[in-house]
Amino acid sequence: MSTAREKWTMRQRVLATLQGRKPDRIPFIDRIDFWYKGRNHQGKMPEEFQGMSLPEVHRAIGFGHQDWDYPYTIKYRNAEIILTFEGERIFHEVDPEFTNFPTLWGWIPIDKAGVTTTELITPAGKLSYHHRLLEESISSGTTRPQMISHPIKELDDFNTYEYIIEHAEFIPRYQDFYQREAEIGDHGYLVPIIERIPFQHILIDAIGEIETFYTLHDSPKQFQRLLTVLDEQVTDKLKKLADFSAPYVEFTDNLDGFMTNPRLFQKYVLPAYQRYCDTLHDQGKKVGDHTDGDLKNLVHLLHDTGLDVCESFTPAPTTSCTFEEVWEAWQGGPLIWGGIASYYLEQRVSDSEFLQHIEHLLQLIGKRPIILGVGDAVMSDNDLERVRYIAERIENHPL
Amino acid sequence: MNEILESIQTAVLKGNLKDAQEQVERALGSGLSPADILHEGLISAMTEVGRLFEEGEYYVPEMLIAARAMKGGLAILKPLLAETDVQPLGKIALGTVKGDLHDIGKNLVSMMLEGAGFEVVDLGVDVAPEIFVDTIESGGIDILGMSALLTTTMPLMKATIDALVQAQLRDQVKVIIGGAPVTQSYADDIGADGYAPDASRAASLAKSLLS
Repeated sequence: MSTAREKWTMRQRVLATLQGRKPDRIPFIDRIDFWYKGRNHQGKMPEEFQGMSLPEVHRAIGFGHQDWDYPYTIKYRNAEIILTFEGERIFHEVDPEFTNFPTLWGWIPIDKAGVTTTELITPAGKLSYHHRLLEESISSGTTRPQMISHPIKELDDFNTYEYIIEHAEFIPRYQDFYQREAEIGDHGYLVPIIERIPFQHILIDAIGEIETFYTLHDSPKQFQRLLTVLDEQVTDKLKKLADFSAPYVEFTDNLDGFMTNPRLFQKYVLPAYQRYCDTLHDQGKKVGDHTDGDLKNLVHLLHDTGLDVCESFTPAPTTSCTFEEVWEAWQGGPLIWGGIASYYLEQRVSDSEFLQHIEHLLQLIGKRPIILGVGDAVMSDNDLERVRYIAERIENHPL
Repeated sequence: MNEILESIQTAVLKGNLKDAQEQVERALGSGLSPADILHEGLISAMTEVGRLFEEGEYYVPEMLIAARAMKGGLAILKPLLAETDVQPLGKIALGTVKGDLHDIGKNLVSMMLEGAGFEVVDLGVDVAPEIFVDTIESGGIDILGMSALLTTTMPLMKATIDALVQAQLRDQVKVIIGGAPVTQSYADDIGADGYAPDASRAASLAKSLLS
């Protein structure tokens, strides 16, 4: 640990805040990868940052470098996968090993616009679904292909999907994670992420939002069976993480109270979080969730989940949930990681409005624990000088 | 209130597609006019769905299955409404702007607009300003609705409005916008006629703009 006079590293600040200790400054850490990729692609990288790597830009502006990685992979036994991009086969493997099924980030091409078709062939049937990436997504740096059709489209698909999940084998990749963690260094924090909890997995990945709601109404037994199969897998996976040495892990739920409304949350999500958090707390880990949606409906329910951190919390005006109401409601937790909307980094917001907002926010926060960040990430059209200003403002005000 | 119309409303409010269709058939069999069944049965039920949604009693799933039941009943009525020349409240073209593939919000708005009695032309996602302009130019559209879920694609809303001005079509159509990062203030800034924070309020907004 640093001496009292030395400034702490960003990692030390994050760790202290997560563990309930007082850091020397408010940790200010999030992602600028959309900004970085977008500016590079558009040829609009400011001169000062030209030729710099992403971590170097983070360091140059004093903004902590947040990144994510899975500490494990999953091997899907008895499954054959074929990826086809715009009609051309780009990947074919039997018993494939992934970190994030069925989204397959890292496998779906992100450097070219187009449609990727994924086919999964198993003894229990075949599934296919599609991702689409637009040229605009590449140029804006938000290179995340959108799932435009989902693996489960018909009732028969449930069996196939369950077969895939039931034959999944957990493979720890802890050493790889520790290595990446070391590479990120002291100015950053590599967040160990876990797949989505079952309800969010079904809602976002397996079936899709609208079809999930129809399924809940029309085929509740199939829905419940899949939920159970996924729950068994997650429960088992979390127990195995006991051997993984990390003070904090995070679910990747993209939680949004508009889609996962309070009724659904109380029935399907709250009990799951409570059980999962108990397991992880027993391992000495703090637990967070990627909650980048509109949390207005869920503010009071999130308090009861056992979650220690709501990461990527994005307040108004990007969502309808204000920072103030969350700050008031979560005095006993969870901790906020985020809290600034990228809206305030846009040119349409005047300098005086931005400065006023930041001062208001910092006064409200005072000495209470928070990990400050840009909840919805710094976008390619955002003003990075404003991020630098916040970093300097925090740096000049010890806690 | 007629007992059969009440049954139609109940079926829609409960999201019971089969029952909604059966009750519409029963209403037609009893001699009720297609226009009365539409307005006092189906649309009236969806107005109530909107109210329940705005009050926080209904959420998206309840709204969705109600809209599906309404649509099922409407499908039976549509040929008969055409015969009797019953006109929709108005015609609305909807689309997610260029560079944006998010369609859930747009689809919910579409359902609520149909439920309110509008005819909806769904232009899909990743819709370029020139497609919006061509659609308005082809005539018959009262309102243009645009959705964006990304701060990086929101400027395409302004680009579309500018393109409408350029094509001298802006006065022919009302423009409404929505989507997670969109605000009333943004709507005012870019010269849209209205903003709605959710699907139910989008239907109310559309009605108010045409009244």
